[in-house]
Amino acid sequence: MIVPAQYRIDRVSLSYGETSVLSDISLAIEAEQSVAFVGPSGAGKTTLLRLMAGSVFPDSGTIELDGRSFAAVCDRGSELRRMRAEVGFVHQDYALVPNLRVVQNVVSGGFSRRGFWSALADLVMPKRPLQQEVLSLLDRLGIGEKIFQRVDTLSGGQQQRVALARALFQQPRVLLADEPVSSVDPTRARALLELMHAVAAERELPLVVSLHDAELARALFGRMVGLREGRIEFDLPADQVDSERLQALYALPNA
Amino acid sequence: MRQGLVLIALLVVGMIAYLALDLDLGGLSPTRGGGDLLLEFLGAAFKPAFDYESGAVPTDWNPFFYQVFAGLWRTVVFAAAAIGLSLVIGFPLGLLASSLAPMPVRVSVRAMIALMRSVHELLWAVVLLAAVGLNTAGAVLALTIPYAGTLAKIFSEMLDEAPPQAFRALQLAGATRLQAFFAGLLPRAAPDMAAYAFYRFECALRSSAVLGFFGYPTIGYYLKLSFENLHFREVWTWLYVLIIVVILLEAWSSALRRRFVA
Amino acid sequence: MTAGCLDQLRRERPRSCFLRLSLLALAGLAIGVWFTGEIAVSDLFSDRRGDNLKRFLGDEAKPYPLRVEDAEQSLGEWFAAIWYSRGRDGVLATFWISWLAMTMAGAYALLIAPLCTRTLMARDPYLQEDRGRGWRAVTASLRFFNVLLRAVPEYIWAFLILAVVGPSAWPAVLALAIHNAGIVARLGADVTENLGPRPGQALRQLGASRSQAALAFLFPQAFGRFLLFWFYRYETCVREATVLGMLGVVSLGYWINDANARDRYDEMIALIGLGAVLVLAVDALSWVARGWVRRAGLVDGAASQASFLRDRAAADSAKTGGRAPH
Repeated sequence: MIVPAQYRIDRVSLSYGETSVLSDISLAIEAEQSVAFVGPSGAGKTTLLRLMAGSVFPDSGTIELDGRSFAAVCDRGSELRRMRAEVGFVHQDYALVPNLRVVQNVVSGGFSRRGFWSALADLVMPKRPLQQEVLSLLDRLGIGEKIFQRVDTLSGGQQQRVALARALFQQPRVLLADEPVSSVDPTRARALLELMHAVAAERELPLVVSLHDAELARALFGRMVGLREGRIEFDLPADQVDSERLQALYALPNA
Repeated sequence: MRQGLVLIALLVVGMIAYLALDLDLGGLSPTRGGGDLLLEFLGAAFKPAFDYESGAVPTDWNPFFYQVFAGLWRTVVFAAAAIGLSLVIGFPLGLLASSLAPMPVRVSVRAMIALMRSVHELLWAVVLLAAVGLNTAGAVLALTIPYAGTLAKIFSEMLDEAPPQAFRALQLAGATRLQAFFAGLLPRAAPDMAAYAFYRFECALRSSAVLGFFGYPTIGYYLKLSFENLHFREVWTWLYVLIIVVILLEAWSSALRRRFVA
Repeated sequence: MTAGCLDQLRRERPRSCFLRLSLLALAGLAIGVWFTGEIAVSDLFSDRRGDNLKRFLGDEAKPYPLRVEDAEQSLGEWFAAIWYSRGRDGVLATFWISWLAMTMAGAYALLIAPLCTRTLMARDPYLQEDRGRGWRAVTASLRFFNVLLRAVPEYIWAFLILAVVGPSAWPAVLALAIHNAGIVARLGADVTENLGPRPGQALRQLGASRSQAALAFLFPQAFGRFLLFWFYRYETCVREATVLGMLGVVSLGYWINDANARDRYDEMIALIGLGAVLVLAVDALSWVARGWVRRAGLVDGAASQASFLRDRAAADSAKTGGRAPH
């Protein structure tokens, strides 16, 4: 059984050169929570997710996954990889290999558990039990029959599910998703987010998603964190977020 | 219009080249024997030889068609061996010359590739002939050195150009750099790399044919021999064989390419 | 789903038989040829070859002042003698031969490429799908002619032309021009065919004739990319120009062959080295020129050398669906 992870983010700041991207962010995320980062573009939602996945490191402050800090292992390759493998990440642009089949893409999510040669063998022709495992995962996401199709023959929504399958195949302890529905129409967006919720709940994983659409976040998520210009504007249960707050969050600077 | 200016500039340099080479258009007119030779040679184009032109062929010679097939086969053999070997050498070199490799490795491998490429395969053949004598493996080696360099150069550029999203995503999912390379980056560059290698095979075939001029038993050897004996119809047979094979190969490669990319 | 379902999905997965067979055949060929007995690998590593190599490296290829004790020349003087007697002229001749040949090839391509462009050579170009049989015949026959030009290697062209016109720089120039004309014309036609058809459509709708469309749309839009191809071919052409000298034309290859025939392998290596320096210098020059072409805004989009080579390799597939997807 996979034990869900807990995040402690403590007074994190990050800047690229002169421009400050995040300043003084503190957050705690418990197991089974579903959190949506909302805010206008450029607010730092994506950067915060990337910090939580261990792909960038903060200038100051700490990010702890169950008490272990990413920054502490940032120059120890294998430990960093092991920690990164605990975080499932669904990228905005899916980041799949379009000219490989679905099964190969999904299997590559589990490479952290495998040696080099067995990973290579999995890539060329995944063994049968592995295929079965991938198939049941894809079935759960509703695209089982696509298992041997090339990714570039699938629709955007289907590719999104493949990306989700790859993240789940990693056996993560937390699921992060960066603008997962930015290129899907509203009806499908809702269905996809509901599916993400469902699979995260089945595995008792915390789900953290960045969303441009605050209304969708309010409808589906338990907790909302409003970000604006790299700062937390509010951090509330979704039912306490009213339109006034949202309007302030998205307001133009000079308006 | 800037394009027109560039065009004129290039033509002017072309004129300078013409003057620097001390050429005159009179040099284009056939020499006294050359005119007849040209007519005879062009006339032979319409009746390529299907048998030896000379009646007095030693009895121990193989039939002409066998000779043609054997010459073509050896041309293909050298080209295929050279490309196979070039891939084995060129792929790791290409990886080491790409931006995935650490700086000092990349720079030194790129310098090595430049050296391999800077000497033409026929010059490598001349050097190897002088160094070890006539040896067919030497011919393959002569083709391989510059071809491996070229493949490495182009492969490294293709790897650098391949979209890196999946490569980065896999590393973020805990895969090692090498795993992520094979699963996320290489598959994206592979169709282009395969197509380019196939194109180089076509080039290798032509180079292999020309190696015959240096004594290796490929098409060029027989072509030169026939030409020197003024057996122009045989020359055309060899030319046609070479042209047909190149055309077939081009058709094959474009058919493959369509399936790769689609 | 059940295990049986997995098998069925696997069986039904889309795959190309042609692709698999082709790859299998190519791999079989690349490996199989080593077992045909045509490639004397063991002979290459025999003692006799080893002795040859030892003699070559240890003695013959050593520069004269290093080989002979109390030689009257220093190494610098030895090389200077080669440079002033042959090297300089050879390098310059090689450079100019390739440039002249590429100028001729480029001129041919500029004239012929539009006539090979299937989007332009149609009954009603850019407006109607149906091209008409006559126009099809024009492009197909010109394209076939280009294939003939490039299917014969430059070395063989030079060999044949030399017999006709006698020794001068012409055989090398013409041979390189003919072979490269076939290549550059094809590349040019691919560039013009891959341009988006919209500006052409607009021009034609305004009532532009075929040649007006070619001048106002094809030429300005395709020229930059064509130039990049041209420079890339030029790099190859310099390598070839060196070699063609071996047939008796006064490029570097002539002197390489001359040193070889006199068994002066030290001089031969020095001249080959000179050729390598020329090639590297021209590569650098071409790199600068290509950079300029791109910065001058003659090419739309930031495309690198690799994508041109890819274009070249992709040339045929590009007919159907534009450039290879990135």
